[in-house]
This record gives sequence, structure tokens and C-alpha cells, in this order.
Amino acid sequence: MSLQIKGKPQPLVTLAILLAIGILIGLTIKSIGYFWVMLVPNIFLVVLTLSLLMAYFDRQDPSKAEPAVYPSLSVLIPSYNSKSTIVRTIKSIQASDYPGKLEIIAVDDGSTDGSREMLKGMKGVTPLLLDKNGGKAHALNTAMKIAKGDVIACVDSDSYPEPSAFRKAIAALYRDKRNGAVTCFIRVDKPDSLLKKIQDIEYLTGFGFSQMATSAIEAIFVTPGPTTIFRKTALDELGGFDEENITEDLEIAWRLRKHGYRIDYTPEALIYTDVPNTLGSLFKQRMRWYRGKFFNIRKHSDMLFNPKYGLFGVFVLPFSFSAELSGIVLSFSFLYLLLRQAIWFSGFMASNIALGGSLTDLTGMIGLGMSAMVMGLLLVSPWFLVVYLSHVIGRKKFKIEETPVIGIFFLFYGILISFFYCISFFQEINRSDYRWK
Amino acid sequence: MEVNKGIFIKAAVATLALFAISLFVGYSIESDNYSRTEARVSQLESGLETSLLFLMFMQTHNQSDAMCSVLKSQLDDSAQRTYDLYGILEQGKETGIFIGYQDLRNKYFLANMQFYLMLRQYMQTCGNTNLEPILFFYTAYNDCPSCVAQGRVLDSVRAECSNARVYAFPADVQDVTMIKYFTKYYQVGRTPALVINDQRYDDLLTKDRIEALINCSK
Repeated sequence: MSLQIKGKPQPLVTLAILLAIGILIGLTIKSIGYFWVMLVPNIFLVVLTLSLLMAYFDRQDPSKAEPAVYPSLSVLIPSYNSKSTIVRTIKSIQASDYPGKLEIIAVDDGSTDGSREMLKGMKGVTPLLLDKNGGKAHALNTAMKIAKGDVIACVDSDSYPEPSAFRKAIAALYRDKRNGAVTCFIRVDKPDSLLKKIQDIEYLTGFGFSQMATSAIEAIFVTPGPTTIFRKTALDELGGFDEENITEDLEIAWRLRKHGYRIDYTPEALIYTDVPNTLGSLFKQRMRWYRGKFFNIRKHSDMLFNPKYGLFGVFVLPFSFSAELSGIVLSFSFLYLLLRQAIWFSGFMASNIALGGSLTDLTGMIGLGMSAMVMGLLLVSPWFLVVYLSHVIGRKKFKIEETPVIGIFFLFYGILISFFYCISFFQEINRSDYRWK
Repeated sequence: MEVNKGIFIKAAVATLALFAISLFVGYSIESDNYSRTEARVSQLESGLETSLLFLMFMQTHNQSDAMCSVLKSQLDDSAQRTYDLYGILEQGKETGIFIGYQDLRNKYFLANMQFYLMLRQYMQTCGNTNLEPILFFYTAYNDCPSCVAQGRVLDSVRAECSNARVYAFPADVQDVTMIKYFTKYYQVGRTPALVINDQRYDDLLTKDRIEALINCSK
């Protein structure tokens, strides 16, 4: 049985809808003012952020006790054409200080870049070479069949666990019998470009603060692909990963919850991962994430607003969509302002040329008053606290030099991501007729 | 682990508090700005009344020789304040969230118009002055970048030419009858438009051109 997507993407329809939304928001701004248009989505975001902040401050520190005997661990590394990274991944796992028995199963999912040959010769690694590329979930399920460990660690082939990561994560897994999985603190590996630095802030807040806060209310949203630790019995009970899913890491988290398992989090288990270094690759990654989310909300729509699933069903799940919707409205509003200023600026420059090009005073460029700016800063102040707390969780020293990157993250990256989200939504509409064959 | 659902009540209260503080701070800033601007408009109006009295006194008692220089310095002082206020009011109109500047703007435009007419009368009464009034018609700040550009040119003309007197009026204002009449009188159809020596110019005028038209006294 495989998942088919009927229909063709219609970029013109998507563009037309995006334009229509833009015009609608623009007209609303024109009639009631941008401040009031931005207020409502901001209320949503502030409530969400403050709820998470309250959850964060209200949390009880979990027990630091380690298990008397560490269980056997199988580390599964699904790999597809990852010649440039997989060796480092395996070496970082081999450098682990895990006290229990540890086996590494590297699953090559039909690579064509020579990485499968590399795996064959690696010491301490069980290579599992699949002839056909069947997707990550399929590779993981295949590896699970031969895995001997009581605990399964799924590690992406471009992710690098710290030596203590497995020890700390498995200690967290065993601190509660209901735990089906433990998520780790995923950080960006070598953030040496602007795009990576921005994603570093995103990962720091997302996998640092948000994960910590949602774990405090027992509502972790995702078991991140780069590395998550699972109890094997839980995965077996669930029948493994959904092989027809493009975001199997999201889906398994929701299904674990459906089966009554808890998902825990430990920020002490540090995992570094490669992130997209170009806008194109970032776009592809986010299309997969967001479309996967839309797909899964339809698949597990019974969880939405369902108190049976605790705060995950009634708070995190609905609010995650509201937050994204708010992000879209805010982004369009901000873009409207930018566009208006750009039109103003081009008109001003054209006049300037006609007047001999001597004008340098651009005071009229900023269409925001002092009151709007002060109010805006006050309303985003919880987000600054979130960034700061994420640094504290990640034991990363906050440097003042980071401020411009944080500014770009808040102002422009948010817009970019909102547009990606919008496009994924319309792609999902255009090509939404999933059917099982 | 028991989840404390009270966090959501705390979050809602904190959100309300944050918004209340933001609205209070935002309103206070605007209100403070408005009060200061209002005080300046009142000052302008009182300066206008003084100038008007000087002019009436001069005309009633035929005292032009003695009073012309006093009236000129009075008009010069007001001209500077009038022009500064123009920018403040336009900025306030564009960026105000809670407080509308419409009434204040209307008061200002009326005062500005009176100053312009008074200058013309002064020029007639006091004879050979080299003052050059310039009427500048514009439309809403953000919708007319060329108006802003022309305004900047007029700023530098004012700075360089001691005889230049600029009076700015929004051509699209609907509720000030006198401005509507003014735009009709000078047949202003598009903005920015300048009126110098009763001659209307619809094109953008460079600094050199304006300085030549008004025989700039440096």
C-alpha cells in the first residue's frame, strides 16, 4: 500500500490566493490601521508565549537518578547519499560514554554516492544495505527488525551526538515507566553562515525553550528526526514508523501519545545537526515539515481539541496552528509596510533624481510613530525572554554580537518561514488528494 | 507529574497586563506629544492675533513707517514656528494610533493661511519688501513621496534665502473650506504644486530654479 498524491501543483492559483490574502490584509490596514490589524495575532502569540513561559517557570526539576543498570541500546542510522557526513556521525556515536551495551546499525537506503561501500568496511557497525530507496521510515523499520537493544536511538546521518548524550537521554527515559521516548536538545552544527546562525537561534528556542516548556505540561509536539531515543517495546507496540508519512518523526510522537505513552525531554543530551545552508534547501525542508504537519493533522484529527490527550490536544495542537496563522497575518502586515515604504522610497528617489539628486534626508521613510514602536517592543519582550532562557537552557553564553542575528530572526526570518508555511498550505490544497492504493 | 493548569490563568492575566501596560504607555506617549503640539498651535494662534493687531493698528493710524519693522519681525518669528509645526502635524497624522490630529491640523491650516494673507497685506502696506511668499500644495505624506522631496527642497531654500516664506497646504483636505477655495483659486489639479508670484508650477522645481524665481537673498 502506498501513498499517492493526485493532481498537479498549481503555482498560479497559489500565487493568486497569496496575492488575494495580501490585498485583503492591505485593505484592512488601510481602513483601520496596521496597528489594530497586528494586535489580534499578537494577542494569540503573546498568550502562547506567556503560557509556555509560565509552564517553564512552574516546572519541577526531574529526578537526576541514573538507572542501576543501563539497558542495551541500538543506534539506528538511516542513510541516503550521506557520504560526506555519515562517517562523522558514526564516529561521534562510537565516542559515546554510554555505560551499557551499544550496537550501531547503519541502514543504507539505496544510496548511489558510494556511501554504502564505505559502510561495509566500517568497524563496530552493522551495515544494512537496502537495494531500493524506500524512505526513512522504511529504513528505520527494517533496522528495528534486527536491533537487539531494549532502547532504540534513531540518529540522522548528518547528526552528531555529544559523548554523554545517550547516557543522559536514557537516564531520562527510565525515570518514568510511562515514557515511550525522550527527545534531546538539537543544536545547529557549526553555525558559520548567516542562514545557519539564524537557524541556530530557531533551534535554540525551539528545541531548547519550547521543548522544555511543552514537556513541563506533558505536551511535546515532535520527536525530532536528528535524534530521539525510544523504548523498543513502545515502538513494537505501535508497529514502528508510518512508512507512508513524510514526517514520520512528528507522526510517531502523536501516535505514542495516542497509545498512552509520555514523551520526555532532557536538555542535557546534546545533539548537533547539519542544517540547510541555502534558501532553496531550507524551502524544501520546510515544505516537507509543514505539509507533513497538515497531513498528520488530518490523519489524527481526532486528537484536536480532545481532552483525552491532555494539554497536547486542547492547547498545544490547536495553538500551534493559531500561532502559524497569526504569523501569516503578521508577516503579510509587515510585508505590506515594507512594500509601502519601498514604493515610497522609489517615488522619493525618482523625484530626487528629477531635483538634481541632492536629497539625503530620508526621515519620511519610517512610517511608525514612537508610540507604535514602544508598544511593539513591549509586546515582543516575552520573546526576548524566551531567547535569553533558551541560552540558559543550552548553557550558551548570550553575546551582545548576536543581537543583529536575533533581530533578523524576529523580523525577517519569521516572515520567510510564514511564507513557506503559506506556500505549503496551498501546495497541500492543490495536491491534497492523498489516496491509498 | 501533575500539570498545573493555573499557568494558563496566569498567562492570560499576564497577557492582559502586558497589553494594558503597552496601551497605557503608547497612549501616554501620544497624549504627551499631542499636548505639546496643541500648545505650539495655541502659541501660533496667539502670535497670529498679535500680528493681526499690529497690522490693524498700522492701517488704522497710518503708522506704517514705525510699525513695519516690528510687524516684520513678528511675522518672521511666526513663519519659523509655522513651518516647524507643519512637519510635526503631518508626522502625528501619519503615525497616531489613538489620537487624531485632524482638528489640530485644521486649526493650524487656518492660522497658516491667515499668516500668508497677512504677509501679502504687509507687503502691500509696507511697500518695497523683498519677501517672497511660496505656496506649497501637497497630498498625504505617505502617498506622495514627490511632495516630500519637494518639501525637502523648500527646506533648503528657506535655509539659504532669507526672503523666502513657505506656506504649505494639503490640496486634498476636504473639511477646510478656505483651503478648498485656495486650491480652486490657484487651479491646483495635481501635487506637488508651487505658487510663486501668483504663478503656479506643477512640475518639481529644483532649488536653483526656485532661488532664481524668488531672487534669493542670501
